[in-house]
Amino acid sequence: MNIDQKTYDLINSYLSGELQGRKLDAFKAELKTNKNLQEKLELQKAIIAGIEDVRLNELKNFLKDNISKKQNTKRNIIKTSLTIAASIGLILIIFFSIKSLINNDNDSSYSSDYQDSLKYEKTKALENQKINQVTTNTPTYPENSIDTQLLAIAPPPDIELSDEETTELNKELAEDKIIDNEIVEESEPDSESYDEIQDKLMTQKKSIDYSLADIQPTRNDSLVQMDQLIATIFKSVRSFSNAETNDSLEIVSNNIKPGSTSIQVTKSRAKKSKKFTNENLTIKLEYWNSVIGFNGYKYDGNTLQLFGIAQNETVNLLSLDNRLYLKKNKQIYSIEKSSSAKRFTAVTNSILLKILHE
Amino acid sequence: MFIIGKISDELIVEKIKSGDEKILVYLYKEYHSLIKSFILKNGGEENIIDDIVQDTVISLWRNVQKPKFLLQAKLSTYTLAIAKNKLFKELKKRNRFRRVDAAHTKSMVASNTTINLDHSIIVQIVQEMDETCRKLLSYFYFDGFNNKTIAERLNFANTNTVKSKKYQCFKKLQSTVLENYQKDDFI
Repeated sequence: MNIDQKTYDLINSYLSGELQGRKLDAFKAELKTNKNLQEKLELQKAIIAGIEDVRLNELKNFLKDNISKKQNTKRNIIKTSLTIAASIGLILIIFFSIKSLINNDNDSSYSSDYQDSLKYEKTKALENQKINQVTTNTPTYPENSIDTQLLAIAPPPDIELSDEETTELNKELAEDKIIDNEIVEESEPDSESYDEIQDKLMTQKKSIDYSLADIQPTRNDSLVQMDQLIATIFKSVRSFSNAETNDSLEIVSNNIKPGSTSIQVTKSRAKKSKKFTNENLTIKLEYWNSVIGFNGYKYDGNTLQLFGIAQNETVNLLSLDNRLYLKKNKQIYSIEKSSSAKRFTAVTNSILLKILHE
Repeated sequence: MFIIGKISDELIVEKIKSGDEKILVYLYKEYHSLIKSFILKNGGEENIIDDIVQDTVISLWRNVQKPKFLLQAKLSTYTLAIAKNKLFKELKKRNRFRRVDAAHTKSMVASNTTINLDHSIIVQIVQEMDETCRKLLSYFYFDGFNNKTIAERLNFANTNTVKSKKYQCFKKLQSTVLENYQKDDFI
């Protein structure tokens, strides 16, 4: 029962409803009488039904596969995410555990170092040597002095003070009753700004009353030394007025005497100056060694704390229109009053620089 | 142009007409919750939801291919109408109010036909036939793709190739079917 293309197309048209009008009538009439055509029609219908069933199942399977695949993908994503989160958590726990163990080890190693008296003596000698090198003709630490920014007690240098100096220092200390004598763990400077570290330390400070006599050289094994005051000098400020550039001029020396408030004027510069001002233009200048390598300053109006500047570097203080400037190596930086530490900001204004350089 | 999710109705219809089967997965996901809530509100049970959604999406696929298809409402409304028919059909079947649907292709092989053929044998023969022929006949009879779309999907040179190849494939399939039956099967 072979089928020719013409009959095949005719049956297809009839089944799809495309066959209409006279052609449809003629086909139906033929169908009634032609048994062979009836068989062909039925066979074609049956085969089409088979084809449709196969395709239907194919599409259903396609849908099932894709939907379950997507669901599995979602599940896998959630599962993977949870695994990653758990792994990160575990890594963090291990990391912090190891870190705390290492810190404990360091503490114990510090302790053993400090217990070693020979090492202690060596360190002390080196520190003294360093201070003496840097602070020639400068006021050195009075014995048993405690600095407000010394975060831990370190062995003080062996410096003998005169009675007059001791009295003066005692007077100064009496005015300032609060000291930082807190044991502070070494923090990570990279992760915190200088100000944050200072703030943190300030919250941990405790106040104690003291006098010079009460303070004894202390060795504390668990202490860590942080920002350290290297030297203090009193500097007068060379003042300019905007109108008359050289009207008032004061030159500052780097001569430092222990606890001294005196000012020495260098002769070479003094000759150039027309006028000196001594009143209310003296600033306490402190050289600090920052453990986090901070370069900058802190100025509260009376005291200028310098960080990252070596003590033997010549610095001059200049004042113009009630603004303070710091001159170092021909570079001039503006100094602003601030309770927090600031970085040096170089003066770039050419007119201002011209005035200040004169 | 109605927007459903990220794909507009217009684009969906376009994708169906081009024979992009991936759109079926999108439609299934897109309309699943809609059809599900309709089924549950209208006496359907949880276990028939997936089948009805699947059948609905495939019916939509087939209907869009028909030359007379014209989208006059939202595609979601049209799809829900299909789902409604599917559900009522299913409920009737379950309530033993089954009625022979003369339009259904399976009923073409009814007891009053002149040939007594086993449907499952034909299905098996179709499954085993040459892939290109099977696809060609499927696209033509089930999906309702026009000759141009079939030519594109099967990389045929032109629509004439589709016509001639279609006849050849059907003739071959018919011969195989006939080989599996005795002359006695035919009245």
